Amino acid sequence: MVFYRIRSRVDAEDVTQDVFLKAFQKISSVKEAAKFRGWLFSIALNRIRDFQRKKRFRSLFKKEDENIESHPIEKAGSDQPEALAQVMQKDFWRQVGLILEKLPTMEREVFLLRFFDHLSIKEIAGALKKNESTVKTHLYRALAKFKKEPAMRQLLNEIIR
Amino acid sequence: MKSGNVEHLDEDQLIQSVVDASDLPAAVRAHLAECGRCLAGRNSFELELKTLGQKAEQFAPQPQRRIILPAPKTKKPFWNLLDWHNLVAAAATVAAVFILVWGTNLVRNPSEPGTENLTADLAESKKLMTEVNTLVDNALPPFYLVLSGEKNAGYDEEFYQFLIPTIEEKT
Repeated sequence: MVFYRIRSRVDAEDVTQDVFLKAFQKISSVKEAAKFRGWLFSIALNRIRDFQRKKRFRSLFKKEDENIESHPIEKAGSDQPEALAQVMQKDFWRQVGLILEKLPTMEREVFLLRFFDHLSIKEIAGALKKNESTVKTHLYRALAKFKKEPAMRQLLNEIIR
Repeated sequence: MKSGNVEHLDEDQLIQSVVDASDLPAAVRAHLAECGRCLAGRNSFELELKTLGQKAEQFAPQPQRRIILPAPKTKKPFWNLLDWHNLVAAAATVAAVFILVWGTNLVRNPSEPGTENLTADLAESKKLMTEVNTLVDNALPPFYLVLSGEKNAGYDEEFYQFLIPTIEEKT
């Protein structure tokens, strides 16, 4: 879930550690077990937002972050069997990035929570602290773009083919 | 769009059915349940989105680091104080205070006045009080007493009568 939004394994692991630490500290505030998933995702979303804000701030002072994933193929070596898988993985996330950047922030977040993280509408509403009808509206708009816009449809077909 | 007398779902309704089918009007829902074409259109779109999610899971790297959480802290602060470090520190503090107080008394005791000193002080005080009483009786120093002749004066009643005669005798 964290990786889908950060797309760097190392950073995603750091943020995940933070998320579980925060959840561990605040676990007593969860009164209903049914709300746990939404609550955990809301912590994760806040942490991701913090991370992205810090990253944007850092990027003002230095060039593009060079994380470990920057050169995964060179590191693995092109003759190794996982090289192809890494190329496919990198290509997949590039295409997902292209699709997602066409959506406004809220629509993107709702779409990711629904189809990547498999949350119900109720859980998404809990995680984003919005009411269910707002969530449905954003999801509807996102799906309408997938269904109606030819560029989005083409990208979707390329990804899932 | 119509097929015979039946109206098929339009694109918006298909999207709405993927978002939440329960929000559709009852007649549309009933049609969706019965119409194979509309159901196939809906399922096809939903499958595309599900496949996208499944591929994302497939292409997400496996975590290589374990999540480490801190050890839970006990909520009994009093029992925390019974930790052996705290006990040793408390014992050391008590011992230090005891040594400080006891040691100070040991150094100070020899300098304090003993019973002998008190007796000497008492004798000195008695001597001083005797001198004071003598001065009260006659404040003149002995030298002046000799000059005035008072030291060996043995005045009797006749002498006083001579100095101050009674009134009856004058008359």
